[in-house]
Amino acid sequence: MATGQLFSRTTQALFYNYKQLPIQRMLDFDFLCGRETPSVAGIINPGAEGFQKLFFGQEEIAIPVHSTIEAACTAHPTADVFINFASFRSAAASSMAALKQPTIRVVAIIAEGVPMSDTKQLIAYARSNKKVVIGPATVGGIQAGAFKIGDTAGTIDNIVQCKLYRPGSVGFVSKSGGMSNEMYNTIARVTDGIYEGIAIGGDVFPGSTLSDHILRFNNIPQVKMMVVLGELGGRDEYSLVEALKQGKVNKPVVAWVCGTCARLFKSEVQFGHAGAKSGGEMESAQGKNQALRDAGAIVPTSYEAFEAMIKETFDKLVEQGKITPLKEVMPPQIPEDLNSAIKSGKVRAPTHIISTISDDRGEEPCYAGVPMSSIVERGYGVGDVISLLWFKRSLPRYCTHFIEICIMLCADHGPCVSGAHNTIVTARAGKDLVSSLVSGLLTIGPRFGGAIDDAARYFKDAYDRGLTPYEFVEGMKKKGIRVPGIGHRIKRGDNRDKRVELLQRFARTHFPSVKYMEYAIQVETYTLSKANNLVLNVDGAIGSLFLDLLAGSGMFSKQEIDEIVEIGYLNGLFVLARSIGLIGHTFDQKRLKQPLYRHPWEDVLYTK
Amino acid sequence: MRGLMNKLVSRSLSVAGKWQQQQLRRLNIHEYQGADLMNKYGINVPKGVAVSTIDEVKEAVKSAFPNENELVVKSQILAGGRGLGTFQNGFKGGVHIVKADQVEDIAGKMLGQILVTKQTGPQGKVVGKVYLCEKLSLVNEMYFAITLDRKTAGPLIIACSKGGTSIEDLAEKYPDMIIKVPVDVFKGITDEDAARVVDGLAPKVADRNDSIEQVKKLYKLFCERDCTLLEINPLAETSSNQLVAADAKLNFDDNAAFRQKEIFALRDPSQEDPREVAAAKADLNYIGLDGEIGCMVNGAGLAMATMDIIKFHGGTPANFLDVGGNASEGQVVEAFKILTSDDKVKAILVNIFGGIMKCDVIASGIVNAAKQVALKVPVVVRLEGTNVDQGKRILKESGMTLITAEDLDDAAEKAVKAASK
Repeated sequence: MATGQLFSRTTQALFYNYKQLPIQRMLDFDFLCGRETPSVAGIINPGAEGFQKLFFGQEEIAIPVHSTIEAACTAHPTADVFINFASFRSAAASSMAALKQPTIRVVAIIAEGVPMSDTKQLIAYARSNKKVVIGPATVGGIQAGAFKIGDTAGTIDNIVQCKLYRPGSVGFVSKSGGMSNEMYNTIARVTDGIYEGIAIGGDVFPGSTLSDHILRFNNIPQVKMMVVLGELGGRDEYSLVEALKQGKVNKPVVAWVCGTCARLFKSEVQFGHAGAKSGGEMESAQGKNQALRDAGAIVPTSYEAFEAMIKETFDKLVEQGKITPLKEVMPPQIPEDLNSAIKSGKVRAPTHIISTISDDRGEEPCYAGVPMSSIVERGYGVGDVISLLWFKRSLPRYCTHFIEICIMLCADHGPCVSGAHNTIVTARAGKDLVSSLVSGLLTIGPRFGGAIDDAARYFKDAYDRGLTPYEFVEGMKKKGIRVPGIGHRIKRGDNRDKRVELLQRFARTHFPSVKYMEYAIQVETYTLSKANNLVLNVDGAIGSLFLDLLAGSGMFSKQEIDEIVEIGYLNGLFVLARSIGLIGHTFDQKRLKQPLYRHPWEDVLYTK
Repeated sequence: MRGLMNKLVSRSLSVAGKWQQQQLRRLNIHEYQGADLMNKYGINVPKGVAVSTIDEVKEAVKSAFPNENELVVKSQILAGGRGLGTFQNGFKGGVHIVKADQVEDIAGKMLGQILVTKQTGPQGKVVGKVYLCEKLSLVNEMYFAITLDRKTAGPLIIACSKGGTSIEDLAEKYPDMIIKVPVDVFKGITDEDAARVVDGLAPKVADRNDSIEQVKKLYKLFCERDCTLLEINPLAETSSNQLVAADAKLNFDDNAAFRQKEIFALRDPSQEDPREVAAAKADLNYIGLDGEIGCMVNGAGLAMATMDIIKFHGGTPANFLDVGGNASEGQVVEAFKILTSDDKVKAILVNIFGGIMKCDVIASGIVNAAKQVALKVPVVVRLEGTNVDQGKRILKESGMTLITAEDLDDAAEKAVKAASK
């Protein structure tokens, strides 16, 4: 056991088992105290390496993460405190490993429920190697203005209120971490505050004892008086009684042992802390209070008189000139976390993303304001979902049905078209689903499947301007633009595309108006007169029919229609539809275990 | 009772002792379970059979004790004072020595009945099993214990050549006969250690080497099963020159439950306080007591201080309840449910110091909990710490009839006053 200071303003710790909040609290405390270096040098997270980003004041710092205790100790030879946040199952093993490191002097064990036989080994090892174990089952400890273990003293507000950002003159030790918070508050009220406070933990056999720390405080010149809060059960307080009797402590000790109520109960009761069990007169709170009083400690008659006793003792020391009142400093303000500041309404921050089509914040996700459950309950189809997410409105059933037909018709067109071919080649190269899918999708463009938007744009423009098919087609020709939506590599005037026929039949039956379609047919009639393969293809059919859908449904303003055509919504239909086929081709190739594709030489013209 | 039993019979194991009160998450095992465990480790114990029906009694007497004239019949409950206890059916005594042909009759009066002893409280405890044991004749009684020692930071074996009375009595009467042998926590027990213990015990008739082996086996059990105390009193010698663990106390380290599954599976919930079982489920640290002021506090230390102050003002706490430093709203609700289900509770005192938790979070937890649980008794709330003003405002604006208190002292005073109305 060390005999004097455990910590200083330059003490650095290694933190075992990454926990963001306690580390951030330690760093915030550092900032509050004006420390130049963060009190956490490194983090040990078994099996992980790298860095953790945390705030040190206003700046972010990267604290190294090591996968083993040995590596961390080698990397940070000056870090001599080991803060162990391991679970009760593994705390003993990791603590022992830390104690065995020559660079580690102090090990604080937070876990509650470490088996006693394991703790015994830790104590025996620490004792014979002059190291200090704080805990198990503790929040840790704090040296005001210098160093803080984990969650000790709670929130920053509490630390500020208890003036723990600068040293006072009182050494405090208790078993309970919760009570330490209460006592830090009390001590700050009636004295110049804490110099150092340690919670030794509630276990039957704590790694270091009340008297260990009192004797240490006695050797620290800045500590002018000590406050001890004990509790019933165990005999720990008697080692303090002995030390007092032997005159080893020459500073005033104000002490109280909690649990005087235990006498009320006939049976033995264990109060939360494993060690807080009444067992005979010696271990009772009354017995210990009396023994401490007899040994010369200042012991009140009840807990509520404790505060007054502390004040009285402190005031006397001031009177005697042993304590000179210190000048108060204002600690810096810890920058508030953005999230909590926004929550409390203190700041506002611009958002970086805006979304109008869906919302996943409530009980269930909504598509354009329609909750998922109604989509299912009302028997909506994919077309309805598309109309909600793409057009932000519920379109009439014939419209959504038309969208579904488009998707069904465009879902695939055999393995030879460029998209499917690319997907097949990629899948056979052993690539994953997404790679195979996108390599197919990437071929979609002006020459493959991407003509719907252009078809719609040009047909609309020509129709709206009242151009005759002749004027339209010849005008395009003059500009050197092929009429999109017209022409097919295989289909002919006497061998129409079945898909086009299906779409047109559906529209004639269900659409209130098919003026754009009629115009497209007139254009086709003209182009067919020029060449037999200049048929209205599926792009042209969908493009023109979509114009009818937008204009005829009465659900869109003219402006909206222009925008839809402008942005290029309609290619989306093809991309979505063809994805179904491309995914199918990927699965097909994988299922067939097809080897890497290699194009045959014979099929290539090698030339200069 | 001890004296009486001493003369009449050799006691066999009484794993249930006075130190075994209902305590939260503290494992108690029945006498027969303790004997069985020691037997597994090769430690000599009196022969016994645990039975739970009359048919089993008949069978056990016939097959296990064919040549015994007399047997000891012992009720199995997790409380001490069984010998002097009374059953709620009027039958007196939880432990009887009877002729073999009366065993069935006596066991029948115990099985399924409620035994009330000075330790069970008036509600008593149900006897699910009786333990039938052979009656031994002892020629010498010694004391043996293994405990964890603070000074040597390891296990300590205590032995005395006299036994049968409490260690405190022995220490007073025969201070020179008590020997203490510390065992190195890293090396374990050596032959020399065991020999020193046996020399301290000074058995009269038992073989020395056999005795050394018994000591080593006891130490093995202590270590392997994470015991915190293993006390054999008396460690006896029988007329057949055998060393026998005639009566034993076994305490286990609750912290080791995770690696002592077999031992902790022996837990008998029929012997536990239902309030504590409910609390354990909600991960609350709860101990039922007999007073009239229900307490809800965060932190074990603060809970103790709170109870002290209640007592100082003339009240009695109805419970110890630590909701922990990071209680969720759900836990607060569960805590309120347990407190309000207790008819003895006349007032509830909530004492929270928001160190790690924030008072406003706690306050809204209390308000929401109170909405879910019908509050029939006055509630006194004392909040201190982080965001205390927001917390107080939430309580005020909730419209609940809460009595707020300025400090701990004020709170206790108000709670005591409210409870006495």
